[in-house]
Amino acid sequence: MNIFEKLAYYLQFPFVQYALIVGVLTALCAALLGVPLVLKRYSFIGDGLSHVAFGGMAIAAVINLTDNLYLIMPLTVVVAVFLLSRGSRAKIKGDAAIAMLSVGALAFGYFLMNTFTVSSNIAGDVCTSLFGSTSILTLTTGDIILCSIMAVLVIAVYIVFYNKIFAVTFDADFMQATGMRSKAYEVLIAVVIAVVISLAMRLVGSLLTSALIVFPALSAMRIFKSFRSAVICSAAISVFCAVFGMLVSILWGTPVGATIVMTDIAVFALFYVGGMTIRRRV
Amino acid sequence: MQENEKKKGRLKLLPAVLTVAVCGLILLLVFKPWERIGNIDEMDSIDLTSMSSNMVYVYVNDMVNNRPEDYVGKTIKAKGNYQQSVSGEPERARRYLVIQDAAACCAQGVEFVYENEYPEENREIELTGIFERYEERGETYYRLSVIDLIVL
Repeated sequence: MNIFEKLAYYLQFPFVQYALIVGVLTALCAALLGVPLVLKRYSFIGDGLSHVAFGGMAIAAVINLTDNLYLIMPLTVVVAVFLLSRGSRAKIKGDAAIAMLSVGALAFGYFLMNTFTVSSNIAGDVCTSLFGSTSILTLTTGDIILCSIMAVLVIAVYIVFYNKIFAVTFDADFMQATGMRSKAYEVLIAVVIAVVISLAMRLVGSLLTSALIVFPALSAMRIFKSFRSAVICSAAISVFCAVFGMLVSILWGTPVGATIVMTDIAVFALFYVGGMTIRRRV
Repeated sequence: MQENEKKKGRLKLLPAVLTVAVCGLILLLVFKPWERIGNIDEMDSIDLTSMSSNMVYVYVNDMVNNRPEDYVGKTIKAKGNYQQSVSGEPERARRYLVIQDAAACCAQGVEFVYENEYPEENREIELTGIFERYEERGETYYRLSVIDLIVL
């Protein structure tokens, strides 16, 4: 069998089809959020929230929750709202607060999983949660439905509130001064980020989630300077890298999460060189 | 100045257009929408030995955990590590084919039964068997009824 015949054979498996659908939706959502996050200098919040999600996953495992997304998502939403709506009057500033919650949640989660052992393969469970080796390919029907609904909701919210997200990204103070409720939209962005992080954990794992959010946005911004163009390009890059990464990992048995991120890095390098070339020529 | 701006705009679009075009071509070559592809659930036998480690692990996980009833009656050929354990009441030995994913951090085992002599534990084996359902103390379980076993 040549590569395409093998791929066509694998694509007949329902779990591969479901993984591609959920992977594409998740990558699309992550890319849409990536541009506002990078522009607001909140790139690291993806990392912090994904570690909090790992802590939530550990709690769900210990209490034997069938679907851990029902605990991970609300917990991540609460922490995201707490982090992003504290403003400049907070005693512990944004980056320090993210660092504290990030490492604290990671340590807490690993401590729980080792102390209250519910699995015979703790190392495997931790590895899968942190790096997402095959979790996207082992989705249950309930997972697929929930992920798809949440992803469609995120995309719908982004489209409906696009102008407000644009305004709060570039000048939240001006937005407040003109009478618009910038705090409410910052909370909305926080909730959406938390939902996307919870979904992205299944695709690339906790440690690599921020790559899914940041790399497509950074790649797009090498070439495109307008917000709309950067968002569209970021979405296209993210979907391409997710699909390509998943297909490569299926064909050659590489870890899914790491392969997707490696593809993101390669595309970033390509766009970086492309951007430099375009700026020199024009 | 306007010509420069237009040229700049066209150049910026070029990578995106190329990316979309290449992706579209790859998708067309992979999916071949003009051909009809069969449904994997209609296949009576599956050879896991020719698949990548990720696919084997995920397939066995789907077979054992997600949709075992859909695989009953299918002939499965797979390879992995042989493990055995003693469990249940009354205790009896259970034999497993253990398959790991690409990162070797996750493993999935599928129980099997074999009429002839079992190999040494921890040996790599390749087996061909029929996936079947069985009842024990009111509970439903699934296992492979092995036709052929090769020690690698």
